[in-house]
Amino acid sequence: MKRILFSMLLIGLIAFTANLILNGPAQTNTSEGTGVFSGYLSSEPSNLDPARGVDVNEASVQAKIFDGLVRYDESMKLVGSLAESWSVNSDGKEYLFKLHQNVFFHNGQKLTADDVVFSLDRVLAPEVASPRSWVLEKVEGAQERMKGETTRVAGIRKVDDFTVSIKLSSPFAPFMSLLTMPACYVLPHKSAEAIKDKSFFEKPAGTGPFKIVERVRDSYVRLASYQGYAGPKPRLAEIELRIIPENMKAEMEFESGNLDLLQLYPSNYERFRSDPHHSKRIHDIPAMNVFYVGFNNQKAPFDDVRVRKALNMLIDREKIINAVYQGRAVAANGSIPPGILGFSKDAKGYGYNPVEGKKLLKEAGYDKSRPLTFDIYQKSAQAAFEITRLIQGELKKHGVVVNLKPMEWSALKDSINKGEAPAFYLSWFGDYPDGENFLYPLFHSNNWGSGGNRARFKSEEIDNMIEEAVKIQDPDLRAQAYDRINRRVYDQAPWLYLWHCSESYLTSSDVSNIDFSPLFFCDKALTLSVKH
Amino acid sequence: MLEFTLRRITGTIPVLLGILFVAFTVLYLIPGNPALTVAGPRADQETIDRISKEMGLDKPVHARFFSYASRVCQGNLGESVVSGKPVLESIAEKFPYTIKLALIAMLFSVVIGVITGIIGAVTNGRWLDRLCTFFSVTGISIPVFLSGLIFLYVFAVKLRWFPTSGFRGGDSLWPFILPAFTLGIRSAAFLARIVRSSLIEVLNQDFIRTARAKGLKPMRILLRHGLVNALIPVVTVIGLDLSSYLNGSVIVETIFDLPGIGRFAMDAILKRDYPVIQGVVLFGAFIFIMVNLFIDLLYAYINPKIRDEMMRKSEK
Repeated sequence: MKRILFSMLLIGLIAFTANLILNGPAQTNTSEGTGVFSGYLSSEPSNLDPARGVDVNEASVQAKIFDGLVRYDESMKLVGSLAESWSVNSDGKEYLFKLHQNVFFHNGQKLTADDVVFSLDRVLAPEVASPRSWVLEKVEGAQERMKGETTRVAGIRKVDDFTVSIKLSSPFAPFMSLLTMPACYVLPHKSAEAIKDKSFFEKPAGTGPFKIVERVRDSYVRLASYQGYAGPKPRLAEIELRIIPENMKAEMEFESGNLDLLQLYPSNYERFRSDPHHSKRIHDIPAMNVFYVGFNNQKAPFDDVRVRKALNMLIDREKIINAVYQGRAVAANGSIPPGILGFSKDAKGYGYNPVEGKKLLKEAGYDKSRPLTFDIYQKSAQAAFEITRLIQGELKKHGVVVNLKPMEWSALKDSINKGEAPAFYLSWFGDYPDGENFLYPLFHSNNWGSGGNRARFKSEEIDNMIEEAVKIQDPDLRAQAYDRINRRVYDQAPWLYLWHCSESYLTSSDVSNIDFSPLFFCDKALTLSVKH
Repeated sequence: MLEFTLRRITGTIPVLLGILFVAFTVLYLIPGNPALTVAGPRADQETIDRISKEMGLDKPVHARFFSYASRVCQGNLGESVVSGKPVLESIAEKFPYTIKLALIAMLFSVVIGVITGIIGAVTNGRWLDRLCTFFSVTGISIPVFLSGLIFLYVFAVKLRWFPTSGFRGGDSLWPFILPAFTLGIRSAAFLARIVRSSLIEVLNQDFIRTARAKGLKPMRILLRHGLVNALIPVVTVIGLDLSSYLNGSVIVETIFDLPGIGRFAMDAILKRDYPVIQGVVLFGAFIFIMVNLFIDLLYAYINPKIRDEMMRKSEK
């Protein structure tokens, strides 16, 4: 019997060895043909339903497959996408969109106003339970639709086959920006059944410049340019997006010539910058973000504005920026990042002012005999520790004791949203380039907790100012209003404001014409070209 | 034998039910709300509540457990809350990658482990034995993520003998070689230790001495009489390793880009995709139990003494 066992084992071994030898090495050429761009995503874009996605990786695939009514181009200019033209009525409540008449979905269906109405209504439909329903919550009848009281949202209607009207319940100037978001991408209404049972999203048919030709989950997505695309034709034949969760693995793939693009982090930036072969192909792009340590403004010790201001003065931001980001970040003197409508250009921040900071702390009742002590909740990740340990060290120099509480991401969000965390290290990445995106969710009292106002900041004055500012249609006047709010909030120091940092990418020598914008994740890859 | 088989199979049912309960409870107890992951960073409480309701998280825990258990009994592991895809379908898609990886890793493990073990036993105490011991201890001590990255860097990036990833393996097994080697080398090191000690023990027994006295060729004594008898404990180790490999290796599958069960599980954990996590845990436990059942039955088949002993124990 033992002999049989041994023989079975041996036969098994021989069979496998034979298979290896016969099959030989696989052809692993990742970019056959010409014009194939090899990129990667850090996680599987499991959900390609624009109404349901909240993930950057998913958005970057969706942006190439689908189109919305409007989009931001490579220079961050708002341009028509499915809409040929649009107008806003005088009270700023009704938007009229004229659609292009020769747009076809990848499955051959012609785009009409019905598709737009169907797709936008779907975002509000209770059975879809879209996490992005807030994008269209200003539309007339949205609340009733979300509660299931109506079967169609009243404010979105087809005027004729190629005209759509969207009516808002109150004027909301950033609305056009919201329409650029993936949630507002248009799906073919004739595929409603497949959309409902989700089978549509295996290989979704949009109107975008690329269509999915192959998809192996957790491995790669291959997109081919869509010949029938109505807009400017993409220069690439194909895009291959591999799923590579590990940065180190992505680095190896890039160095082996298997990737055309690599995102750089503080941990590997210097290595590539000091290499003359790579340094000239590094792109530092200002991103739409703000990093901060949020305080729970409703709980002691952070219910005292003096404590909050003092902490803002006790941190030497420039020193940390130089140490961690090698200068690729700017100190945040407000929540709105540079380049975004409403950025406070000449705002003087708290700066590094330990004398004044300590004085304020003393006034609030904290000194050497009674040191200010608090916990910073943070993600249990190396990148977060790199920052929080420096903050901890900076504050320790001035007698402030900080304990770091690392937590798993989902648990961290939960405890912050419930108001349990006294202080927390977080960042906010904007969805669209309008100051409203850095004010309303973050500081309006309607949005306490999960809505974005995790600091539980509450000011009736600020609430009113935000509500008024979003009604201003003129961009310059609206920018001024945002600027005023940004400064006023900053003055209340609801956060320990840190910085706005750039994102860095390295491209291979084969890549040309890559346009990076702060909305890189929504890029349609229209101008991108590669040699191979 | 039939009675023994039936008893062992019936015995696995309570174990599976227990695992079902544990998999459900543990996920219920860990902090974090899956609705928050689906809702994203800017969803108000109303939206989160709506999503929770859609995901059935608003129902009491016992109701959720019973509805889950009854679905599982019907062979339905539910749908991913992120992609909406049936969990069983996804597992079926990913399992072939994991099987290939597991079997090739076993191949490396057995070939390298047994050969090294034999060399160690035959050269007991000499420099070659010490070299083999050094290899075993190193293999056991180096964590897989480190050896994986080193192999990847040396053999794929620098020497370019292997592809850097197995993402487009097709039917070829070539892209699986390096990850399987990484995975297999660790259990090869374990096996080498076991084969060595068990072979040394066998080689010191009387029947080997008799065989030598009869003038049999040393190679025949070693393989035919020594190794075959020393292989019994090795089968146990192989069984255990195989079942853990079939559950997917998160680290190796991540480093080498293989879309198997391990990566699927990791992705689900990060996204708090409860049905997927539960499905993968249950599937893993099922595989583990089945492989062990197979090994038990194989033992009983090979050695009737074991069968009788087990039957006596269960009758008591």
